[in-house]
Amino acid sequence: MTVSSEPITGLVPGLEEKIAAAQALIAAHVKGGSTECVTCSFQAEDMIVLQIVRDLHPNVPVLFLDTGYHFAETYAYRDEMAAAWNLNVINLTPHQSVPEQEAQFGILNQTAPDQCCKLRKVEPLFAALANYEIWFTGMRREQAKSRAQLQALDHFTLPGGKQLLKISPLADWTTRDVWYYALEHGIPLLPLYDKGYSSIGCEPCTSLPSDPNDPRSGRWSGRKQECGIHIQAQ
Amino acid sequence: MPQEFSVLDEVPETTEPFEIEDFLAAEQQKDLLRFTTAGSVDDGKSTLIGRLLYDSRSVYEDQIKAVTRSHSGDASSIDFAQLTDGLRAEREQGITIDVAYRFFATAKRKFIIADTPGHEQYTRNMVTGASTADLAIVLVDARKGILTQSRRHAFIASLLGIRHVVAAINKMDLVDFSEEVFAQHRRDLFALAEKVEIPDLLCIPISALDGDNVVTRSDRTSWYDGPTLLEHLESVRIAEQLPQAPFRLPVQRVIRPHQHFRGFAGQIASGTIKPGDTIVALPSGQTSRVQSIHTFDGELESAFAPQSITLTLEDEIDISRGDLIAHKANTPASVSEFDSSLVWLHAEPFAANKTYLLKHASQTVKAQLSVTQRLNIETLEQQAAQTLALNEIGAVRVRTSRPLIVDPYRDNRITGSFILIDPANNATVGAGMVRRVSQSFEGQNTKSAAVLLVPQPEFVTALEKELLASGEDFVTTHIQKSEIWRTLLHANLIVLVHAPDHSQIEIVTLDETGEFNRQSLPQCHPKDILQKVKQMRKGADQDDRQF
Repeated sequence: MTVSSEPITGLVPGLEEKIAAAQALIAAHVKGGSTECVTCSFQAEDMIVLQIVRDLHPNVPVLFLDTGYHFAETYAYRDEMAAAWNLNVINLTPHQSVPEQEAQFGILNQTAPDQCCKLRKVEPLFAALANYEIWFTGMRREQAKSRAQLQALDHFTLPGGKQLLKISPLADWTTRDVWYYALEHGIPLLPLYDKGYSSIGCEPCTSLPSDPNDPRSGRWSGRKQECGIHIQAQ
Repeated sequence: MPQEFSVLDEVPETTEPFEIEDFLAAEQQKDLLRFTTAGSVDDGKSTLIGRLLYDSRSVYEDQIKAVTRSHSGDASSIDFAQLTDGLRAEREQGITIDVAYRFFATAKRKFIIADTPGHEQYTRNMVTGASTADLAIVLVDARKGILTQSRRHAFIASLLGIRHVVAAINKMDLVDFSEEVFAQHRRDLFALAEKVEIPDLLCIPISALDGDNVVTRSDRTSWYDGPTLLEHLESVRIAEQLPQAPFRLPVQRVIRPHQHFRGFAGQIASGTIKPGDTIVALPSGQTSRVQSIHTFDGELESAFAPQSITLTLEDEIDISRGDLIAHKANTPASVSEFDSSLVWLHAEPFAANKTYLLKHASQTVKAQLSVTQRLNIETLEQQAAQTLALNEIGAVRVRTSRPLIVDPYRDNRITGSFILIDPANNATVGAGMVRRVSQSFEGQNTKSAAVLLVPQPEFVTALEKELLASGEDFVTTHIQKSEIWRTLLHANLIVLVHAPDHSQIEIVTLDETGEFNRQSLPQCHPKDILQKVKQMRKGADQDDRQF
């Protein structure tokens, strides 16, 4: 009868069940082979999904969209966590480097952010995803209106026609669930959260949230909601 | 008066140069006895511990000096109680310790005393201190005999599964070392031991103050031919039933250094395991055979409690931290309802309609409890009751939000115990010991999950809320593919499918043969659907719910 500190996740109604469901959903689909991957922007949600997946499959490919525009903090945190968790990080880089792209098109993130996202995020990711069958994400419905209909389990069809199983184990988690879980499991988080950011992408297109009730309101200065990767989720 | 010498004097002086490595190796070899002391205020508990420490030379000279009343330095002038309490006070500086663990060793054994200060929270402290003890010393004042407190202590010792109890009949010097007084108390104590089911009781007449029969044999109790207290502590056989008990390994970590090794690490809670044994992983119910047993010092032919090991299995099965590995032939029960003893530890009494958090092994679940009986500590009889107050002991029926893998406490202290937490303030309010578990786990999943096909999107949302509120594990999808459903059903999930092509709500379950079983429902309230799912589940595990 060791009296120890109690898990705070037990204090949020329904969170234990959400955790159990997320773990079961992941465990049911992780076979430890080369067909599964986790996409990871190194935000809190992705780290939770990654933590559960890697427990079952330590060598799972962790796809990181290395756009070249990330915050220095994000790169540092990526390297720290990759070392601490011994992650199999696969950095997906666009065809053109940042200077090459800026030389050809100018600063697209100011003139045509959609185009920039397409070149630096959507295309590299879709090319990489073609190698896998099962895709784990940390997406949540609460993150944006565009994600309100997000399913925990869904098909995702790549432009080439290939179909993947897209699994979002945290689909119905709240922001509080995420923090409590991370705290309880000692997952260190991206330090940018401490500066007030609530959704973190490329540095030029990420600012502090303008609407405290909308975590993604700091993305693309409110001009758009999604980079384009998750559009099918609607 | 007993002679003033200590057992350590019997160790022959060695002329060999002192080798620290040899000494440490010898220390490692000695086994360890954990014991607890219980007594009312003024029973002489502090004096007894002080005496044990002093006579076994486990205190420093300056500590002795500090509590010596005269400068003669002989034992008669030492205040042993103050020695103990002084050490206790030392330990309490800066932090609050309810139970002080004191360490001492003799040539034969190492000891840990869980010293529980006897103030008003005695029950709480005793439960905490005694829960890992092999032996309990219950102090009885020779002048007073068995008091309510002694009964409570004996009962708690029994409740906590402590098999060895020593009744130290103290202050024999104040009853002139009367054989009749001792014999009378001894009779009463054996009657008590029988009542509370203590298998091994020894009564020793002592005087903690003078040291009679504590470490050295007293010449004032010539009629007593049993061992002294320390002799008994040094020689009592802690029948480790753990290796013979059913095998239980709570998985603390999954070790996967590379793709070709997958090991399950943990400390064996009970039992013995060897390569080739058939095991079952719980709660999944998947079975496999042990391939190898690894330790830091290499592979083992067999391992037993309380060793820490890493197991590899012949098959790739899903086991994660918090799961339990058991022998297929003897698996613990996976139940969400069981009977338990409960010691109430909080000033705020037990509330019947409250949901508490129950921490068991490595899991925390929500639990509702109903008190059925309360122990009358005077008569040791159970009385009907609905609530429990501080320090009271009762019988309860526990219902948990998710199944737990439990053993009766008498079989396994780890998988058989739990604590209750008040979710409002995080306080530990109760300690429980599982008494009766209805049925053994057959290696099958206890829940049968279901796929719910729902045409209307707004109804999907309503059902989601309902599922969340009732603590079900579920996932949402609009994929209508049987292989995907099958995977999720095997994972014990409720699958909520948005199916616009359906005209009616449909529930799909798996039958014993693995075939889909479809059932359409007319439009109804979300609660009714949930009810229906629960009924279907009940049908699958009705044997689990006998009471």
